[in-house]
Amino acid sequence: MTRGSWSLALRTIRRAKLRSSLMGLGIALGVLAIVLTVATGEGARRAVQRSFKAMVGSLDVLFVQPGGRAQRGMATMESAVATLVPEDAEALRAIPNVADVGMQQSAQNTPIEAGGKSGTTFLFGTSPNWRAIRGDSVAAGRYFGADDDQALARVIVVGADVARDFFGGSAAVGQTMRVNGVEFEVIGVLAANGAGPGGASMDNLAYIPIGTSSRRLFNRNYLSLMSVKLRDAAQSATTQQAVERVLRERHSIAATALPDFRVSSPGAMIARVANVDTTLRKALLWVGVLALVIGGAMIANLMFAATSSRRREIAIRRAVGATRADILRQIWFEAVLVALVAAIVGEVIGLAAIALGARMMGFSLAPSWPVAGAAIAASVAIGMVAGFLPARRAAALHPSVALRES
Amino acid sequence: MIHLEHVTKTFDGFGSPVTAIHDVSLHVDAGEFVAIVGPSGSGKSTLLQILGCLDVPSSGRYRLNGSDVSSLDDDALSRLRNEYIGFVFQSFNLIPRTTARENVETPLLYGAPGNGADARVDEVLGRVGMLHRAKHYPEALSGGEQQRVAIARAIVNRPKLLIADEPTGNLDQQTGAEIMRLFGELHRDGLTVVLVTHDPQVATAAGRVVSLVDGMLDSSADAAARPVSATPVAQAPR
Repeated sequence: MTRGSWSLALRTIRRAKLRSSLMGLGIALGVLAIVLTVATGEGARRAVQRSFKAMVGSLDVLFVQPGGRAQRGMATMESAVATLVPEDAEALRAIPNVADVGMQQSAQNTPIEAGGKSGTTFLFGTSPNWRAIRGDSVAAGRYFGADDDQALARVIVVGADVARDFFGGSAAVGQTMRVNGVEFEVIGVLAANGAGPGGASMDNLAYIPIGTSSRRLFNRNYLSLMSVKLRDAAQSATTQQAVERVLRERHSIAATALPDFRVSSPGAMIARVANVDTTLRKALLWVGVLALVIGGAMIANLMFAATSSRRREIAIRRAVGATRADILRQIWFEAVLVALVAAIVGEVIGLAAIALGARMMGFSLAPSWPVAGAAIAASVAIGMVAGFLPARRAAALHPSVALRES
Repeated sequence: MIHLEHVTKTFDGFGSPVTAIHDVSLHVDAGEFVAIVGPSGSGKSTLLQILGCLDVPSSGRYRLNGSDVSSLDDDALSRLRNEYIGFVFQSFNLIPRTTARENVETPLLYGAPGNGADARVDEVLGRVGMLHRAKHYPEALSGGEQQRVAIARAIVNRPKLLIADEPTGNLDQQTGAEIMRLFGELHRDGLTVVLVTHDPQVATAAGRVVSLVDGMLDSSADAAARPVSATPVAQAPR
């Protein structure tokens, strides 16, 4: 009879559309509010994540900068304290969770000339593994390798903006570019990264081998940044401690003293910045939850009203053989089905609004499937609670009494 | 088939219990067609509800086909009504927003699952001449048509006992006569029929007429009944 109860419940809902719609209104609105609130928050979080990814590349890394707390902002060869050296990078490779260590020297506003134009760019001298660690892709040509690095080759890989500004539409690879007056051959162009957190382009930059930069450009071997690639990003915190321990030991810094380096995790940074649960959004979320609860009360109320106007129907069903359990199931399933259908309607409207908003207004919206599932599950649970008492009252109706009424 | 022995039914009135039927004993054999007559308020409907297992006696014993109904629980009574008894009411009592066919299907929903339910529904709808109206809602049917659908619903599960409470009360004379002809046919096919009416014309269709006055069987009325082919009433002493 259980299957029969479902189909009876469904039939009643279909044939009393107005009543069922009113019953489900609260649930539908609640789910809609929750879906939209979460989607806007999730959208903002993803936007932050995207811009961070454009800046730092891969997220499963740790960054090691020279200088302790005194060092502010990003270290470059102009500002960096001379504390990190290539041997530090070698030492970090011994840590089990470390997959690779990239080395970098950087200089902002480095003068470059090519194709009769001149300007500045953010120049990086990196170890050959840097591109792989960052996860950059090469749009044209190639990145430099270990042989280029050892040979102190004058080769350069430029960002998308540099390629566009200096070489226009024509191929940059094979062309000559002067960096700080030194002639380099362009061997590759990177794919565009887009904008970073501040909205600035992450494509106005150029890479040369770190061997070349330390010997031919800066005449210094210390590093302005190390990028420690992790095997398991989930162990980021313990690996960070291990990195600090190794570097303190190498730099002979007591555990209680301030270090001359700083280790940071982009994952942790994003988590801090992307915490976009504003008061307004929290309030909206609570409105959604409240609407769900009120929706449950609406269902209970209307089910009570409906069962008293359906006393005769219930009595007839009892007369032709329905047991109390049959009646209980039929009425209860009605409440659960109304809640389920209403939740799905709210969900669909919400998702449609998200898709529309994303397309038409360029909103940053992202639906959250776990929340969508949870909202439906909560609605069904509310329907179960709301429908139980009316169903029990309907089941307790004595057929002989209701049949005598006319 | 029906054995009522000294059955009394009292209801909670306002402050004092009200006796609806008092010390009624009645035997009905399988295949009988019995009409219960009496003025309104005489306890006819209460008696019918007890016979139909919609209600249980306050005292006395009701045995239906040998088993003691008084000792059955609610679920067992539901099953008994489903398998054994068909009901026809004065106000038709079709379920609203439910087509004629769906109304007729209802008892099958609550019974043991079986094959051929659709064919059976078609069969009984055809039997009462309502197959062409199967998809209509009760609101779109005339009184006579509604009562035909109700009869189809009452017999769809092949009951042994058909209980009818003033089945022609809301119908004009001609339609009422047609419905009574239908009852006559069902009775000839072997159904036991117990019918309540206050219309003497309707009662003539029955093989036996039992009169109820103030909740008690009236022997004089019974004595005045037409000759019966079945067992005489086991009259309770008064």
